[in-house]
Amino acid sequence: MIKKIITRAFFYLCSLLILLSHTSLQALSKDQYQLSQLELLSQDPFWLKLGHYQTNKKNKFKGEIDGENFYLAKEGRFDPLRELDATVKAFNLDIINQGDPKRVYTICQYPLRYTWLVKQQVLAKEKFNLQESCPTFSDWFDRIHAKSAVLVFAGSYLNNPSSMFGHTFLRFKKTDQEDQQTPAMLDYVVNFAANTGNEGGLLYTIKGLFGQYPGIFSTFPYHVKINEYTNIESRDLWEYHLNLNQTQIDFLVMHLWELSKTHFDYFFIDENCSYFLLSLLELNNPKHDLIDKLPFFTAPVDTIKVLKSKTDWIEKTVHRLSTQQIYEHRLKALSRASKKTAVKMIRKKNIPDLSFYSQEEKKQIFDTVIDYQKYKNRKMIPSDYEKELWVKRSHFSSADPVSAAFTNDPTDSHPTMRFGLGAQYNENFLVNIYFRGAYHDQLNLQDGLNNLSHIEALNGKIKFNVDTKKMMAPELSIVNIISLSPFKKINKKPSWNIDLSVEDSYRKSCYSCSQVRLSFGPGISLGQFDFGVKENKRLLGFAFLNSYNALSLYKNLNSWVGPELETGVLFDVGQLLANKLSFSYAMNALDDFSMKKYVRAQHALHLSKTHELRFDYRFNFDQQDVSLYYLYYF
Amino acid sequence: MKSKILVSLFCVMSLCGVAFAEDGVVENVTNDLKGSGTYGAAGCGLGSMLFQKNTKVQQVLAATTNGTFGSQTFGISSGTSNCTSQGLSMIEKEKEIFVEVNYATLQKEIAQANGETLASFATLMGCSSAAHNQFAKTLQKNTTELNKISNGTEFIQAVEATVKSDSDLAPLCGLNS
Repeated sequence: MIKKIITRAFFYLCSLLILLSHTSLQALSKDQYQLSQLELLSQDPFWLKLGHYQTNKKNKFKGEIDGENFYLAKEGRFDPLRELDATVKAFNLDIINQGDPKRVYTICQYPLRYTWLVKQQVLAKEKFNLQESCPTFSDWFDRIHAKSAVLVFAGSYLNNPSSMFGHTFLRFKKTDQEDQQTPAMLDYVVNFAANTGNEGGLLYTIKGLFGQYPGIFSTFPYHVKINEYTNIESRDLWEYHLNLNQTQIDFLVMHLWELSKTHFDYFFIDENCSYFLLSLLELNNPKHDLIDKLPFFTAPVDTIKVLKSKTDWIEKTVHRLSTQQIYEHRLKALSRASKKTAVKMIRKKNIPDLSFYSQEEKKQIFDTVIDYQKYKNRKMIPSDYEKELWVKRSHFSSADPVSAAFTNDPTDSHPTMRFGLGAQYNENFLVNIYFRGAYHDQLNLQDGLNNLSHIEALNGKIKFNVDTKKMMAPELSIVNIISLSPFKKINKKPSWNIDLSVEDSYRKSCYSCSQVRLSFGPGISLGQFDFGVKENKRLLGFAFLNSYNALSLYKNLNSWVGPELETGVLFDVGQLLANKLSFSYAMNALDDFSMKKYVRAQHALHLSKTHELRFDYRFNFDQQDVSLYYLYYF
Repeated sequence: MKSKILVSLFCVMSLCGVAFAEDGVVENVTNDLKGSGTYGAAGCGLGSMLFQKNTKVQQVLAATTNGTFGSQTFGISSGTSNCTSQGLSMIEKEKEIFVEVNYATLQKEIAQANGETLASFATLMGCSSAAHNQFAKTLQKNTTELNKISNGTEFIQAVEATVKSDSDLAPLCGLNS
């Protein structure tokens, strides 16, 4: 109700402001012709993109930039015409007062607005010398030296909650061609991120969700980002080289400068890095609304997906391997005996007598062990063992480069939202509607995603009981994360999982009674996953020891606190079929250590990237539960 | 609908926060940043921070994803600091920043006499692309000596001296031997 009033009041206020602005403008302007020209220009798609204007449902404009000083006119955020008028006036004053050494020129802050307005022939005739009058801008512009642009995607990183869905940023290439004289690492990249200051933890999360952080653009040398992602966080980078001409590139860099002094409110779920990079790129396509094509939950990869489907800009792709991938490539290339020796060296941290091997084999063993150390030691200062390896290694010829084909393209991933329909039979016969907000589960098509990750948010079902013709309590998993890390001799990483759900209890005393459950715990997994190298096939065994806590929402059902053991296997049959077989055993400390257990078989048949059939059979030792349903991803 | 989603996502994120508390990534970054306010002799904020606080470097850099550290140094609007100007590295500090960020990788690639980081460094040192192989091989011969250096400025000087000592290589890198 209050919201309605506020919205309405806001609407009236805006209308009033716009009405006022129009009348005052007419009074201000002497030249009727010029006004109508400005009016026309103010509706030009390019101008609307320059001011980041969006129209709301009532067809009113609102600029998306939240920094106070971005719009020159007082009402400029809501009125493109007023903003244009103020811009033209300020620029004309700059032009008249050119040469005044003390003057701070507005034009220097808005080089792209200036360039565009010159083209539209609405400014004073005298030429303004951008190069001379705006040295800070022109120096900066020359240093970036952008000749082409690349959209870079950094894969997901499960150990940092803010990077679980990956990240995108833009790289400006100093050359059209890849050559050694202008190495990629010395290019500049543009990053859009929330400036969170020194805050962390819970506050960071809350503020981030409600747009309380300013999102700002910043530039980095590419080598800083390569080091951060591929070395320190061990994430692969996928580069999408864009086919833009020099004018388009210059426009991008100029507009970036215009935005560099201001900020957007950063919302983790939609108005995030992906969204604003796309709004920057939109400048090159003013007639099309690329950001309108983004789904409600904007995952970083969606920017690239939109570009891929709505434009023909992507001309080339490059895959940069993380240090983990590099060492795994090297290990795979070794002969059986060499591999054994390398693994032994890694475990014992020594350098044994290698005289049994040829020079070439010795070199390859050293490089494998050295690159493994690089992946494991993420500190800037190398260990003594590393230094020892380096000195011994330096007597051999140059290392073979590890080249990577462009594999596991993130844009090949399935869409993240889904909707479905199906039937379920337990003690009742049910017809269900399924939905999920985001993002990826173990049984999904694994193309383009980390096939060991499982992150679901807002996964639920609405149930209709066919027998009683009544709706049943819906089930909703608020968040469910399962991170599997195959345990290896030289890479002993634990697995872990967490699940927060409102769900049926599956207990004999009241099978369909709802409970709120939080379970989490560490685990271990063993097996093959071959992620990102050749085939995306998995054969993994896993076991978790969870803390299982459930709050009953019904009087005749006990709450539950106790341990749960969950174990099972996950395996793919080609691309078509993903399977998970599991067994769970849980005890309740609140109810005389009563127990419950089940075995479960889940199968997903991938008909295409967007269509999927699922079969889920669960035997609770006193009750069977089987469901068959169809899912559509969008 | 939107508010509902917001609330649940909040739960998602806060839970993640709890789940990762053991890593203490965020807290450590905060402490590190507070603890390293002074710039070392190198005079370059970025680099000296890395060298002083090397044990926590991964956390510091991990945070750049969200700008905790990076945007202060490389923010376009943050003007001129010890080593950056309008978000770009100052020309005279470019080599230093490069060496300090990529120190471990550089040393490794010198021993292996190959790699993208080493090639980029060669370009920064003024060597033409035709000289990159020779540059790598010459440095490789000095792996032991270069390994001992743990300061960006000294490292650059040592590399320069090494290049100069190679009469074939020096002219290709714009240096007189």
